[in-house]
Amino acid sequence: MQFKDLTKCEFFDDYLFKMGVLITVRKGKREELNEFFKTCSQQLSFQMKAMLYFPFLGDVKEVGDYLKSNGIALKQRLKIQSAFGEKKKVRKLKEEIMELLEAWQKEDVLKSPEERQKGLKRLERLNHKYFKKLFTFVLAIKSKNIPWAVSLKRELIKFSPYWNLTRGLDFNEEEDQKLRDFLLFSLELFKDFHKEDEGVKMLAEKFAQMGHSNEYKTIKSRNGADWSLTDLRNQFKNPFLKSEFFDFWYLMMMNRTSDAELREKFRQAISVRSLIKAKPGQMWVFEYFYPPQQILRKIILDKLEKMWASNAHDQRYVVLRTLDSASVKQSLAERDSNFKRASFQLKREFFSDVLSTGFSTENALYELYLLGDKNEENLWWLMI
Amino acid sequence: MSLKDDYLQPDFYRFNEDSVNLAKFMTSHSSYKSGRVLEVGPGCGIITCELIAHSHLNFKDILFVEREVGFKESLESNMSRLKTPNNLNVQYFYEDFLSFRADGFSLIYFNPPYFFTTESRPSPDIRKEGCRRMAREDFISWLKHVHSLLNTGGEFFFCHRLNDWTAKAFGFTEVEVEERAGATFYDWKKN
Repeated sequence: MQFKDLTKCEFFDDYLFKMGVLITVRKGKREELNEFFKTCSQQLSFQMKAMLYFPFLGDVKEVGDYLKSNGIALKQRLKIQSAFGEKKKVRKLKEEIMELLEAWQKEDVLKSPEERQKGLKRLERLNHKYFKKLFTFVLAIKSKNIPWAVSLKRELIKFSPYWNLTRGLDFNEEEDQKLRDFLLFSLELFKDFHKEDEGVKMLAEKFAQMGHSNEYKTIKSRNGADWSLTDLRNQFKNPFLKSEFFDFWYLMMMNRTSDAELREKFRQAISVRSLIKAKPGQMWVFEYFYPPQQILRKIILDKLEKMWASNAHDQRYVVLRTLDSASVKQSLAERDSNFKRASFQLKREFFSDVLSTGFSTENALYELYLLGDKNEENLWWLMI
Repeated sequence: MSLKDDYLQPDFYRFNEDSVNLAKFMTSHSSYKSGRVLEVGPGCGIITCELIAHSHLNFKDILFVEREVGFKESLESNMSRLKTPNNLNVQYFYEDFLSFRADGFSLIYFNPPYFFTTESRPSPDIRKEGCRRMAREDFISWLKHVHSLLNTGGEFFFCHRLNDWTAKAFGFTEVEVEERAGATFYDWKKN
């Protein structure tokens, strides 16, 4: 967001502007807004003031006391306190993940079987599917259990490209940098034991998709994850690669060739077998290509229904994306009346639910804003 | 758990009679009294479960080293369902055996993959492949590695399709050899 003339206070009714101000303050950059606060503080609602000066508090009771002293009504206080409890769990999880990201890069860590066993037990308690897989990948390599590492590498490649939008941890720049370093480290570690070029390149590409900064692009460049159109066409000649990782190659070829060629290649790549074996994280691709064969459609729809019925937000989000295809939506609606409802209703419920988990807060608020939900109360999630 | 049909097993692999027979062979011949026990490549844990349920062997401290993580659920579930003594310490390591470093074992046993890689065609299922076949040189390294992990006087049991493994070549003394249902069962002692 661009802050132009802050001193005019004229943007302040804008929901996105409020979000931007709160995010800036939360990131510890309050001084960048000094002029704004000086001139516009009179126009701030008491709720916005309470948010902007929300201190770091350790427990729910302290939060309750702060809110009470700032005139927040009981009903709302209870909601915010409950949200604080959820956010606290996410913060704790993030701390655990950051600790692992730093500790497991050290050479002398996970050296003995006992240490690795403790590490595995620690991961079993980690409530985050993606990071659990990522850390297990490193643990498997450090155990020199290469078949296990290879199988985890394949699972990581098949993970939903959208997981960050529903289970994201809102990393700051420093944390993001640490994650990038860990991703690079894990690829180097893997290459020490297993020099399989294509798989490493694919994983590097997948890792690079997790961030948008230039820092993440180095993951690709250092691992040669770059395919020319000819390379990509050749990948589609490899029956194993094209079928197992159909979504990956589809993404790589998108916008690089004609729709007709892309569709033709993809038609060849998917089969009953590849669809049966497909992981939920790969199903996003059917937003863009919905095969006409009934036998294939049945498998796809069975999977999408099962994913929607699950509690996993990353899986449900993939289904929501596929609903943007009118044909998929119609097919699902014929099976389940829930899908007859307007997409914006389904999305609004979904993102309200995501917001209540404490993960991917910024994205959930932004999506709700796009759907017309400008409830100022929701902005508390940014500050607690 | 007494019937072998009760054991939880993964979809990709079913244990065979050799595991049950190895447990029986050990029950008849083992002189194990105390100390740490190691099962290598336990799969879903049949041998150990059978030993705990049906033998006189009184384990206190048992470690499993299994490379195929697809067995994790069935192995840990079968062990947890077993009526074991309260003080039994069980540890699971999902590692490559040759990289596994620990020592001081009184008893080690395994039922290795049935075929060598040079003798049969690979399975299209990568997990099944790891359970069915291994390289001959890796098997020999396993035997040497067992020797390095065992205490002097420690016992080592295994079964194999081939009956020409010589204890002496690996620094062991042969205590007993028996053929049963097409497999050979070995009882070796570390000198």
